[in-house]
Amino acid sequence: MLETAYAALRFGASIALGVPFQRRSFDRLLAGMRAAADEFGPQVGGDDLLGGVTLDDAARRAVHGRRLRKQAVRAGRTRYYADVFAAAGLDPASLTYDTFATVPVTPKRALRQDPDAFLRADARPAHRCTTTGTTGRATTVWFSADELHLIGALSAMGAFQAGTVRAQDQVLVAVSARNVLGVSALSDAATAVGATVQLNGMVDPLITLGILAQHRPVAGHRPHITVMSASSSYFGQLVELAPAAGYRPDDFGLERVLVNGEVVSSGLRERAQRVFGPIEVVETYALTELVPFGAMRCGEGHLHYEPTVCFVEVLGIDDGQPVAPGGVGTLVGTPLPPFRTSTPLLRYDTEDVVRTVDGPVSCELRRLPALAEVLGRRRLSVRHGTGHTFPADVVQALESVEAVPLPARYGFRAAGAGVAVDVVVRSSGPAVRTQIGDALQRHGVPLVELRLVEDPALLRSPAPLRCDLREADLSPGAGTDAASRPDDHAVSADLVSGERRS
Amino acid sequence: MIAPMLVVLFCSACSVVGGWWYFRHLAVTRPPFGVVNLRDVAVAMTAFALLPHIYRSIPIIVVAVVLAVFTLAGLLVVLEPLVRGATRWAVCLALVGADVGIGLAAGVTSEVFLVVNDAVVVLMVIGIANLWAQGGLRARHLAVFAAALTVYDIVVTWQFTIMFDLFVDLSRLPLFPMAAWALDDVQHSTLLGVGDLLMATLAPLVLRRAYGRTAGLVALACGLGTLTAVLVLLATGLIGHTIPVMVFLGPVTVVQYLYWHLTRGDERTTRQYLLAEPLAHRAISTVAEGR
Repeated sequence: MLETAYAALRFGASIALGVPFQRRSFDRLLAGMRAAADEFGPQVGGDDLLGGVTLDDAARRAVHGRRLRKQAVRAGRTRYYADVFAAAGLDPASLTYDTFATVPVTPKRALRQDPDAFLRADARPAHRCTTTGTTGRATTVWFSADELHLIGALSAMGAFQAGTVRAQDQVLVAVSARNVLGVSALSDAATAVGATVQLNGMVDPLITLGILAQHRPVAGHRPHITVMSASSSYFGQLVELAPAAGYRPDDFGLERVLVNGEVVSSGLRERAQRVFGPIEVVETYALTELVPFGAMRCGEGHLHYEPTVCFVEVLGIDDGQPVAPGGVGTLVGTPLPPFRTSTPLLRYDTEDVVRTVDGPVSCELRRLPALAEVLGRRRLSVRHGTGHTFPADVVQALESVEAVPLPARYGFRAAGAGVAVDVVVRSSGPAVRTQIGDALQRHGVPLVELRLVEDPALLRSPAPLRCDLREADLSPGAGTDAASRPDDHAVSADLVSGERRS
Repeated sequence: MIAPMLVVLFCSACSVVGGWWYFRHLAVTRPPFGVVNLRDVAVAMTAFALLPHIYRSIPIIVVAVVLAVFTLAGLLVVLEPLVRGATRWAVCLALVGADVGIGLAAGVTSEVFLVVNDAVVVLMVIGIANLWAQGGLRARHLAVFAAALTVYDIVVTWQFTIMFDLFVDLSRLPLFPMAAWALDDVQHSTLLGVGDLLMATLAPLVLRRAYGRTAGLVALACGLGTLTAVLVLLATGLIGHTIPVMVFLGPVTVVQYLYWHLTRGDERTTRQYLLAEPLAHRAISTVAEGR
């Protein structure tokens, strides 16, 4: 206990003073959390080892100002920011909280085109991590071995505190294996908590369903996969395919699904309950470029984030100015020291559109700042005569309609004073058209034209989905039969066949 | 000579039985730093070994301040489930203030001071014992702690005078960490160190959690029985006036652990213990919450 207390103090000192983390402290903190979980049972929300004090506005500005300046000085030792500071005539050592906004926003394409330019001259890079890269070329970011260790440890602590992964769980990681950080962070967390973990990747959904339904007796663990990490669209595919393949809720032991990277609609949540039983859909928001920044949805639906790890700005889509509470803008983030020693990023434009919270919140995570919702990628959003329509508006509407198979496949574009929407439906008809039209209007989509198609190939400008980043697998017949299911739940995951159920 | 012994025995009974009641009815606020483990035992053991030397090498006023801070912290822990907010601070400060004030005004050998100080010591021991037991101290680690204290007492307390000298020095200060009576009569005074009292109070809690109610009750009886036996031996003159109680209490604790370990096997975790023996107040709240 005393050793863990010292480790927590050491962690706090790193945050407060910006000094490098100590690997041993993290290992000690994790060991303490594991010991507490073994002794007392899951302590969800109980042992808040890392929660700091809530600062008033003046203190927060002072602390953030100091840390932003330190990160800017670090960033000055990268090729990219040395050029940026020279071109803008800025001295990073003289930046303050109030003048930090004079640093030009870092566009995503700059990092994507030349990730090595963002590497600090004195860094010790170990791994160039790739993002999932749904909307085009993947972005890559350098991390040191210590940073990767830190990210894994932070992920494990988050799992302990939020209870997203527990010792009895069996975890299936069904996100793209290219998302190295996401995969390794969850694997590290599961291992630290005491759960088992299997890296699945985004293979044919039928194979994944077979694994989810597998009876897999492992001592000390539940006999099924209980936790799955997946993108929203891939999870939607599983929800859609499971009934068609003959699965019933009793076939699964799934308890929690960790969804990240895409809009998670209410319709998906509702339909998932019918297919998998009473599961918890845990929605998080994180991206490789801003690691360890991440946000988690609270009971009232806000996305809360830890302000000590990242300085978050929300800038207007059109004018680049900070938006008012309740406004919509692009999320711009600056990971703070002592995080990100290899690739410091200043005012990084995530290109993700978010809505800010309007006024104070009263939820259980109210000590943490929050975003109201993530609305989707900026370049997939549409500006029209009456404002903007975002992917989240359309997805929420479409996936609330049963006639739209999951994940909703759609495209939308500006059309006069509103938008024209294409959507894939099971079968088109006047009733379906009315349902979808009503749903879109309920979600504030100014619908000008609605086109229903039954073949995804007929979509005009289809929105990209992560589930389409399919990974190959070596299973015989896999991916050739959309309505198949394994006859034997005990079959090895690698040998799941595509036999049609009679 | 009997009366002081009976008073100290009464204090011991209050501590042991009070600690037992507290363990089953109240929950200390456990620090969010894992569990109490062997490293904490090692730290405590090191502190036990070093404190006499440290106390005797620093100014007495510093010792007094340290004692006041530790006592206040201990009281805040033990009273936290009973009294909340500013009232808790007021009660704890009042207790510390009364101890210091009466000690300075009436003298630390006065009966009124000893009543207050003994009460403070008993409360402190109940709090610390529960903090350790509810903090997850394993029975195995308790046995190691008892064995180490026994060896320490045999070597240091029995062979050297440092502990006796420390007792004498500390018993001149308010808030001294001992249950005591009749200090104005050196020949008939009786003092029981907080370490001995802690072991007698802690063992029943840890053994109950680890091996069940019977193990706890046996430990409770053994602890009080050992203290009584030592006092009887003292009263009858069979052992000298300065006797380290851990020489008796330590082996009794270790033997109990070995017996339960050999007959019951692995000890229970706190979670298993609470599932098997739910606390009354928790059961009530669970019913009230409809779960």
